[in-house]
Amino acid sequence: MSLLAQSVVRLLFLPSLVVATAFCVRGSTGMGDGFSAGLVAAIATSLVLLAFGPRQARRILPLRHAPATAGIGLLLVVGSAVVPALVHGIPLEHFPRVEFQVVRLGALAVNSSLLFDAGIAAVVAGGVVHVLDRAASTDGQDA
Amino acid sequence: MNLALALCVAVVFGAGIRLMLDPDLVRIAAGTILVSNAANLFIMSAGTGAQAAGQAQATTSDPLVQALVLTSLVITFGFTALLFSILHAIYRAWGTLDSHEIDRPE
Amino acid sequence: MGSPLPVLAPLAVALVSPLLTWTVGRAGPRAAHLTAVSCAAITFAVLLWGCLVGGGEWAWSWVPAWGIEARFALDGLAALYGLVAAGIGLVVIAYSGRYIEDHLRPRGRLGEAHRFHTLLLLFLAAMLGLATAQDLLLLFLFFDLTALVSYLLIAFDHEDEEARRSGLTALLVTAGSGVLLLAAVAWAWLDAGTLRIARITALPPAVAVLALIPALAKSAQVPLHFWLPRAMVAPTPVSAYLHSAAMVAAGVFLLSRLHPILPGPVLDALIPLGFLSILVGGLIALTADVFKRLLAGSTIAQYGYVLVLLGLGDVAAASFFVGAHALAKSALFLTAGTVTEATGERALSGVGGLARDLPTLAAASLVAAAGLAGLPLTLGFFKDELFFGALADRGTWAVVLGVASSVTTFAYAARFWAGIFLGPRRRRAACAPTSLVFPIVLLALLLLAGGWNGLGLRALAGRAGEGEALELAYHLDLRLENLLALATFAGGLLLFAGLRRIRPAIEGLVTATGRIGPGRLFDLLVTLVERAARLLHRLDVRLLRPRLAHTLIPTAALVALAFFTQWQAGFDTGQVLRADIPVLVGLVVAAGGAIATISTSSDTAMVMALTVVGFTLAALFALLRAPDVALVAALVETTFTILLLAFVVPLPSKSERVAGGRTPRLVAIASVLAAGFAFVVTWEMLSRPIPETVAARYVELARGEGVVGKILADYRGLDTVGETTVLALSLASVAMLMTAGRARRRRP
Repeated sequence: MSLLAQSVVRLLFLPSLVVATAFCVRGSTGMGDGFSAGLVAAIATSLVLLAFGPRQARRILPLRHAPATAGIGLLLVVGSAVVPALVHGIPLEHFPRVEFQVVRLGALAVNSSLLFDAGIAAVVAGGVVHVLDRAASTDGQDA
Repeated sequence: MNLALALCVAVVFGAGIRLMLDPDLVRIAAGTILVSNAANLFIMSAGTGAQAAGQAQATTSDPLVQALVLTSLVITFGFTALLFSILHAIYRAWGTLDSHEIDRPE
Repeated sequence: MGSPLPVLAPLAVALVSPLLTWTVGRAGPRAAHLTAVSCAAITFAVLLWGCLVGGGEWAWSWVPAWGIEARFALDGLAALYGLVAAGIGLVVIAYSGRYIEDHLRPRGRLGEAHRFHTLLLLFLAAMLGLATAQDLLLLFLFFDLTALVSYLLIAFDHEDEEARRSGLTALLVTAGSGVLLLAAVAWAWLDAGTLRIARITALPPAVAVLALIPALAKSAQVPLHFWLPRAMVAPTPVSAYLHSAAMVAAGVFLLSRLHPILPGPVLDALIPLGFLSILVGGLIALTADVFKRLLAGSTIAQYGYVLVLLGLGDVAAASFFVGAHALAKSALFLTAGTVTEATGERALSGVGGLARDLPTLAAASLVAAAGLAGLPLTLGFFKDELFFGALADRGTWAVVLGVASSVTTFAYAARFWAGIFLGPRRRRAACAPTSLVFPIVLLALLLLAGGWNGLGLRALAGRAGEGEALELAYHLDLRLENLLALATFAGGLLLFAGLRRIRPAIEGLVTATGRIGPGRLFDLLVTLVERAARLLHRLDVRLLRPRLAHTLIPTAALVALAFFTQWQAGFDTGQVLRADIPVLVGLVVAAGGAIATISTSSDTAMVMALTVVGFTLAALFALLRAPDVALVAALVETTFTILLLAFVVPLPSKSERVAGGRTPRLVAIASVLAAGFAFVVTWEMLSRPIPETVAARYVELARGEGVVGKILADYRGLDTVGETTVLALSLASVAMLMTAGRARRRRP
């Protein structure tokens, strides 16, 4: 049974990350935001922990970098709030401004909310994964 | 429609409060989840109210309401996670999850 | 009066001084003392310069929409009180260098010396701010600041419970009554439309009474005088500064500043209050054994004099009195401190005959005592002369009371000095250090110099009273003031001589009033409040359930009231369209799930029911055309399910965990009430839709694309930053809780 779970999870993991990234860079239309992206990544990681057990999961995935990820995410979030405040006096301003031409990378619109969403995703994913990791090592069972 | 929404919010809220008045800490934590759900439903139904007045938003409901509920969901997530880990720590420290036991002056 | 510099410069220096002393003073007590003395000296010098160039004025528009501005001016009254505060402050700080070192060293708190000096300088700054404030709001602000700093100074020996309690008493009385001053300021603003004192023509009587009470409290007048004797537990420099020259002066300063606009009856009431204080203070001073208690009683009495003078309308005389008293009283307090340093005794019964051991000190404090008693050749003579002069045209009873007051003053001043320096020697005195004697000598010299014709004080007082310099001189004729003065000296000597005989009677009187007086009332009030707080804590704060019930039940009652009275205002049930049926189904399922959570005793079943509620609500959000919300709700619910199950499964079942028993009826009632409350509120809200919201503007701004995202990230971005902070904090706390548990487990 666990072998089945392992293979399924192996197949599912990367697509989940792709979905998460899609949520993050959804652009101006479509659903999803940074928070959902983080949650999807966190759920995917918990699946891996469940199927493979904590020790093996740690070998497959870089779980020990989770708190650092959360930290970077927080910096991104706070930065995208504070930097516009220092430059323009208005915190968390959309850059480029609404009036200007939208910069596109293919079909992707690049603007400051991208950084913001990426930050939130990092915070959530990093935080939850870190908690799961710790819980897994404390009780010998996963949470 | 209004009545139905109000009834649902009331039932969920009432259930949540009933759980929060229980001496068992796990029930209290579950009660907070229900109360938060009731609050989110309440805010969302406020968005539909505007619709009923004939506002020109046929494709989605009031976006401001949606944004607020999203924020609320995130915060609920955060503090519920914290609440449960506190329960975990209490259980490890005291071995009991009965609030009467814990409250009793030593 | 125009340029801002003469008033801004001293204020700026005074504000910088405490900061400077705090930072530099950390290096050690000597450094702190040096900095403090220099700062105080500079403040005094700059203030003096400001007064000599004729004062100045500065205003800054603080709330232009309401016409509130911060206005400081160095006028006559400000000059007098400011110079008194700064001058005595300088002398006291010079004294306290050696004193505080000797005070803190045996207690092992030598590192706190810089804190002491900083607090004294902070108090000086507050007094200067108070003196120069021309605006009612500023007046209140600095008034309260002085109360706050005095609390910190009185309770400076914070390890001593009595010190803490006395400090708290002082704070409650002075700052507590300060609240009345705030009410008075607000009322005055509503009444007169301006806060600028110069522009107000008259205060309504109620406002005057509200402003009077804190002034009485601050100057330790009856009935709010009881905090002052208790505050004597503070270190001596604090008593010498605050409780003779500065803080108690703040109360009468307030009355002087408001004098032109106080109504007649209020001013008339000051006279009996003043005499009452003279009586009470005098009785305390005549019977007290501890030095500082005697001097505290004397301060109460002397400020009674000032109150009488203000009531009689003579602001110049009152201000002169404050200045003269400040010099004499602080010198006497410093004497008490030095004597305690030299002998280790704090009470009159332990000392005597020290004139031989400490001649300089004896001479200096003789001058100070003479200044207090109003003997000629000292500044004190003129203060009494002004007093008699003011009373002279008020009738015989006034004169008699005046003489009686001065007689008691003479008696207790003599008692103080003779008790310490004359008579049989009871305890050998070590040599008193120079730095503890020199300031007293300085003050005594000032008193003697003033004895010539009033020195600069008469000009200051004259300007304070908005008039010419006071005319003070010795007249060797039979005018009334001289006769009264002679009567005083004679009566005083008699009283002092016969004191031993009548003392028991007076002591009995003092103890009796202590048992029923305002001090006792205050103590009873405090005990009552403490008991009520403990009761409330037991009933409400400790347990969660009663706290919830106590909030819910009154709320429910209020909401029920609104419901039943507003029934006619319309609760719209709304139409049910065909498209709404899935929503209805969803609502029913969610409600069912909620009921399931409470009706099961198995934890796993409860978690599953919670999951049902959560996912149904997510589906509902999607049906209500809010796709983003539905997505996030579904994801959150998934995470919760994993979390909850993992937490709940390893626990013992509920019946083993909890003591069990049937749920009390109160819980059921409270839940039904809570549900009713939610029902009424939601239904009412839904029946009154808001026709237009700011959302329309947002949609316009976003040009219809991804509005929700833009709202989160841009228009209401700060909310999102807040939410992310909450999230990050929660997750960090969870991680820390997990780690802590692990660390504890490792310990054997």
